[in-house]
Amino acid sequence: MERSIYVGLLVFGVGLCAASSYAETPSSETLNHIESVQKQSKHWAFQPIQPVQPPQVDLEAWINNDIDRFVLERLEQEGIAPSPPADRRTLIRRLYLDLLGLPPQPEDVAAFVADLDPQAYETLVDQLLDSPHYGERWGRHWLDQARYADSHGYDLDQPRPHAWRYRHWVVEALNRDLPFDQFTIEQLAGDLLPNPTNDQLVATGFHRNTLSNLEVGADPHEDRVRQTFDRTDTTATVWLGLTLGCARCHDHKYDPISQVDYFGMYAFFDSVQERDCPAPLPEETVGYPEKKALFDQQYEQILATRHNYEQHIASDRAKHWAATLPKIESAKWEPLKPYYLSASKGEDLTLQEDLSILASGPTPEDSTYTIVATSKLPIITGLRLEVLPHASLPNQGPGRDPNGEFDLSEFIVEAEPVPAEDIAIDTPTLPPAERLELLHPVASHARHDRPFRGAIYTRPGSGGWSIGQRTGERHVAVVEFRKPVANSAGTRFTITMRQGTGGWFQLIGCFRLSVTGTSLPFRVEEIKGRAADFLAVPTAQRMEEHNRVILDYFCSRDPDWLNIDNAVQTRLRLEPKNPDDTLAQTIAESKELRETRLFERGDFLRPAEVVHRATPEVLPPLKSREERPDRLDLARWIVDPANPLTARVAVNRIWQQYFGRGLVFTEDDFGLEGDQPSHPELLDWLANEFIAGGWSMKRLHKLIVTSATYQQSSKYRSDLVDSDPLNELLARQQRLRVDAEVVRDLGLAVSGLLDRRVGGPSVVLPQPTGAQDLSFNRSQPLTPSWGDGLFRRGIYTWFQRTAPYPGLMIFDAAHNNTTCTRRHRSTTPMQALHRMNDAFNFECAKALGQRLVGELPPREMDSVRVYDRMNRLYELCLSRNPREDEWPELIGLYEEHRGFYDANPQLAGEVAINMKVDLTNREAISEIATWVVLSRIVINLDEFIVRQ
Amino acid sequence: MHPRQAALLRERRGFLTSCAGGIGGAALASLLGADGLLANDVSDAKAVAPGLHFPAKAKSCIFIYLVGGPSQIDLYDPKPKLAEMAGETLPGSITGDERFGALRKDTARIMPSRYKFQKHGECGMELSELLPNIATCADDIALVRSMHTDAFNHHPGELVMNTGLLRFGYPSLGSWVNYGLGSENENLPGYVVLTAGTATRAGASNWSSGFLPSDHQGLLFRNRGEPVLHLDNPRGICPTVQGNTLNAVSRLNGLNYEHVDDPSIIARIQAYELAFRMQAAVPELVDFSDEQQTTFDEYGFMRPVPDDLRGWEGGNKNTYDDFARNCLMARRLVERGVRFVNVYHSSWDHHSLLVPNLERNCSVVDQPIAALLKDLKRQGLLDSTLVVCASEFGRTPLGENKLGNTNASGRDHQPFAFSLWLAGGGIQGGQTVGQTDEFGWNIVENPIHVHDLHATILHQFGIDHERLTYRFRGRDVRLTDISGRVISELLS
Repeated sequence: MERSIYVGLLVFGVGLCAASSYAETPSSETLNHIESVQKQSKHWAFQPIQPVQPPQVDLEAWINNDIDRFVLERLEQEGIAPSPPADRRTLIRRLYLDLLGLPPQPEDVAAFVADLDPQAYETLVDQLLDSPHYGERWGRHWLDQARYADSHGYDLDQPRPHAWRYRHWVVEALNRDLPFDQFTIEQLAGDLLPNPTNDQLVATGFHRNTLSNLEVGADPHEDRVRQTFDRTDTTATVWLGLTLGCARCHDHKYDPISQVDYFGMYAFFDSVQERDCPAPLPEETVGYPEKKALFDQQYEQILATRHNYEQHIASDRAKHWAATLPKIESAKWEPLKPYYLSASKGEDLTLQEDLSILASGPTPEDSTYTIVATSKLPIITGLRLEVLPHASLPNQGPGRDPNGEFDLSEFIVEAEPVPAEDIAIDTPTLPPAERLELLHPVASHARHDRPFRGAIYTRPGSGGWSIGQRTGERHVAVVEFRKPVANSAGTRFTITMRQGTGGWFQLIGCFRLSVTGTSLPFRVEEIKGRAADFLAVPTAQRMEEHNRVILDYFCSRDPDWLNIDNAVQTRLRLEPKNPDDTLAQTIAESKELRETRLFERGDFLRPAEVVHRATPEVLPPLKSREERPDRLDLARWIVDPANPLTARVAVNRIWQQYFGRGLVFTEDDFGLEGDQPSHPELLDWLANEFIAGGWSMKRLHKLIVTSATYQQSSKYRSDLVDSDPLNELLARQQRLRVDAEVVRDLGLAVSGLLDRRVGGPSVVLPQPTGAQDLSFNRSQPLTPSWGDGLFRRGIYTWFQRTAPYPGLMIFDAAHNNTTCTRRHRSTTPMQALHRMNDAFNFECAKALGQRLVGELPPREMDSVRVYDRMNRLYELCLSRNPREDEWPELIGLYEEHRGFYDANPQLAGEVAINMKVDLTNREAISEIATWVVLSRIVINLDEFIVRQ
Repeated sequence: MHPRQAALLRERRGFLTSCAGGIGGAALASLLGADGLLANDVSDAKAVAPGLHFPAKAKSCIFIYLVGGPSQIDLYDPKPKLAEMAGETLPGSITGDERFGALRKDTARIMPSRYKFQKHGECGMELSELLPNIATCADDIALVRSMHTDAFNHHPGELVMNTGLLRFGYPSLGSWVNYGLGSENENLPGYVVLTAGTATRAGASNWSSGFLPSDHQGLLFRNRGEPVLHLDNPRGICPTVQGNTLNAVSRLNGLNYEHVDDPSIIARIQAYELAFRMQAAVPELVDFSDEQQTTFDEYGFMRPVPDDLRGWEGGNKNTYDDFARNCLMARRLVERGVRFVNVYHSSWDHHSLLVPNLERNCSVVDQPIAALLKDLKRQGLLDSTLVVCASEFGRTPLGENKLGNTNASGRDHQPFAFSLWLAGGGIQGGQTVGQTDEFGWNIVENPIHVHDLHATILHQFGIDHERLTYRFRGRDVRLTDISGRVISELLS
């Protein structure tokens, strides 16, 4: 059996052994420590970053900058030639997608292709790095690491309405190229900087993105500990490239990170306090007082109008309405006298004098009552179920559960004609009868989530009728029959009442059934809430409060009042936002610092010895300002150039976005178990450059994208399939499917729908049907934000942790529950279904079709301009024109679909719904439908969502 | 589904064969035709597949994966000796030089199971009272008590159990089987993944196709709401136009493939083809209205759920229904010819508070799994469907005592002796294979490595594990790496 893998499971630091409170220190552990020290002394990532001289190469002409020397040296060693540069159209598209996450406009492409200046490429790079959209694209990469989301997570998953303020900061900080060391310090310890600016406080929102469990019964201490674990783990993974989490419960199996090391890091975050503070955006504060005063004046005016209407008009109308309101009893009801009663679980059902039925005896968890009765009414239009209080029932009933409640899960009515002589028979056999279709189920009262209709239109998992806390009262439920029952000799009803399927003894204790012959419709409005109670009070006895509630209820259904109120609400939405309402989630240090203890097995209920703030022993020592180090010292230690990990980890993460994989493939594990760098010297050279360049991220981006390595063609190299299948040697660029947000942005950009505003709050997008059913937060459905903001970039999509927007998740967006340092890139049928059929994508296709027809209107002699529009479609979507081998295909598609829609005008009309087209012009409709279909085809191409 | 779209589906097959020669030459044709090495067009789900290297017993596999390492001491492998020695240490001669992450061997005490074991079925298989329903299927189950694996921790352990190797980027068992045999139902993915409870550590790498063509990857169904979204065409897009669109997208993607040669384009084309066919097939698959209420009851839909689930790591109140639904979905998938189905539940990683957590987990999975076995049998599908119930490792007979804690309430990982079971698909039920010592610490009879399990599973599909290979980085890589033997005792 293979056992060598367990070697090194226990690797305790010396510090731990000395400080440990337990007696035994087996010699094996000491041996292990020596072993680990030996390992760590050799492990590349813990060595100082080395100054590196770029090597000499043979093919000097290929070199754009020093990056290429390292890459080419390796290729030359392997005898592999690099790939030729990509063509200019591919290059500009690549740059746009990588730096901005948006496609270039056709005009940008044309200008770049025509620009013969040798500096053109570099000029373009500078221009793109200056774009505000750069912060959006690279901000998203950072937000993955920051596990940014707009909700708390866990079962309840309540919203975090202020989370976006941190995202806003990230976008803005990247756009002003805040140096990475400062970027780091502000996020980890902005609150501890001397006189921190508002922005520096907002930056600490990084560590507010942890999940928090606000469920009733969740242990707040446990939740705080979990958040602190997450803050520790995330810090280690994001900046140090170490998966520290394992050491939470035990010493890290492979790496020289002991449990004490872990809790030493943990201690830095143990006294973190969460604090939401005002963080107005500059544009919000300008002119606010004036705008607010104007608003107040206008708003008060319209409020007065509404008040007048209520006082002088609505109150009279409400009185009249209440006086003439038909009652649920208005139909004439005739009680049924059952002659057969049964309860499936053996309870006793007794018919009482008033023809009500009382259940007694055992109380099973669930039961089904069957009642058979006949009626001689010639025409029967509906049925009434009364549930009645009774002294023998818990809480007076009418239910039998300990609270007097019940759950009528299913209510079935069957009917059949009976011959006259049959009516007197006492114990009939039960022949099959016709099940009646029941309409308009209404109850005088129901728990808000358990209406009577739930018992009629049953669906698996849906509940039936319950009355909630209104026990001890009579309640009434009525249904109509779709087809009235008409039998001259009488009708026999078989009524089946399934109850308590949830299994909580929720059975009906006392009830009565009646039928009516009143002509349809006899139902009355179901009045909910307190208005129903107060309407039951005789008019003369109503108090002021009663009338007020009745008036409110009346208004809520009065078209005139609703009109006025609508104007009030519309006005209210225009209220200028108080800048101080813009809050940011930040952290601060508690006044009383917590004494950190190591938790056995990571279990917060098992605190052990005290641990002091410290950084892992294997890394350079921490310099602290005071005796007791704090988060600011930690942050400065992280970005100290002597730290061997931070710069390497950071440049590797940036590199992997450009080439699909990092120089170290295990971008989240620079420890002993991680992969070796493919180009160790290049990694160190880049890290040095990064530090020497003042940690400027834009400078690093420019360095990478201006290299010849980056500009290579991504054409697949079949000659390297065996020797370098994963393109580790970088003999070509890599075709990369763009990230989920960019998939969305591309559709919006090419169709012209894109809302290019930068920053600001999140947008709740409408979800496809079925996406949110049964999600944890179904009790708090997300309300889609219609209109404004619907076409903003993917980065602004509201991220609800338990029900994230499927359009993002299908394309492998981060789950944002824990830090994500690299996304998967899958290719699945789900993606194809989404691209083809999602309503949003189809909107993009329609807008794109509209755009083509609108921008290139019919001309004399050329009414459809197929070639122009096809060229434009390709330029917009793929930044190129159709190739020679594609033209016949495309023209064929045009002709095929134009012919199809000419022959099927009603289908063309369906496509053209809500489009700007003359609906009387069949040719125009057919033409626009054709371009929608062609647009849909092109935005479904692989090339559309791939950075080549 | 519109009949027109159904007709188009049939045309699609013609399209694929006719255009394959035209757009990408031989390479594209072979990739597009990658229905597996064995391109069979069998559609009768009950017929036995011909197999790749020799006749097959199984056509499909449902691999139930209980993530985290369920305790075999409390479920499958009764050790009365532990009760006698409760609170004592294990003899040093037994423990040897094993090392652990959290457990401190020198002071760890024996923690006997608190659960009763009884003999079940005609075979008298001893199973724990925690699995009363699965126990009624004992005569169909082959219980293996002598499993061992290479990995001590979850993430690598999951990779070993699913891909045979301790590394990322290698194909999973389900992908290998699909690669070898192709699909029985071209309208559904050959490999579907269903999950319930909390997440797995290795995530999608557990069902990755690695370097194999990506249409062999496991397709994860959503575990909340609709399993597959976007099945309806947008308004105004009739089946004809949808079919035309798909054809056009495939052909234009094919032309681009000629220019850039990137195999990922082929994956995209295949994904679109399958998506189009799934539009017809999935609505019927996920519509359970043709099932009887008795079936729902048997699988445990809408079972009563305990009120207080605080501290439970096996999911939340929805997990009971999720798992039941997944088991029924698994049957519906294999019934329709889906080759490989993963049914995940997590987590079973009970380092502490083992008793309440294990009991809750068992109450989630026991009834649906037993219902699945019985249902498959009733439908005549069990003979051709291999059901496996496994995890990455088991748990120690010693209580976990990190830092000398004497109040151990859980068990540590145990990779060198654990249990799992198989049923159906030509497996001889009603038998127990392998044996551990009286402490459940070491294997004393018939050690079976994960590679052996994989070799046996492939064997049941008619595949010789040494001959199912794929060239990667200049080496012919196989699921079982360089070892693995078929466990003949398991076969009927």
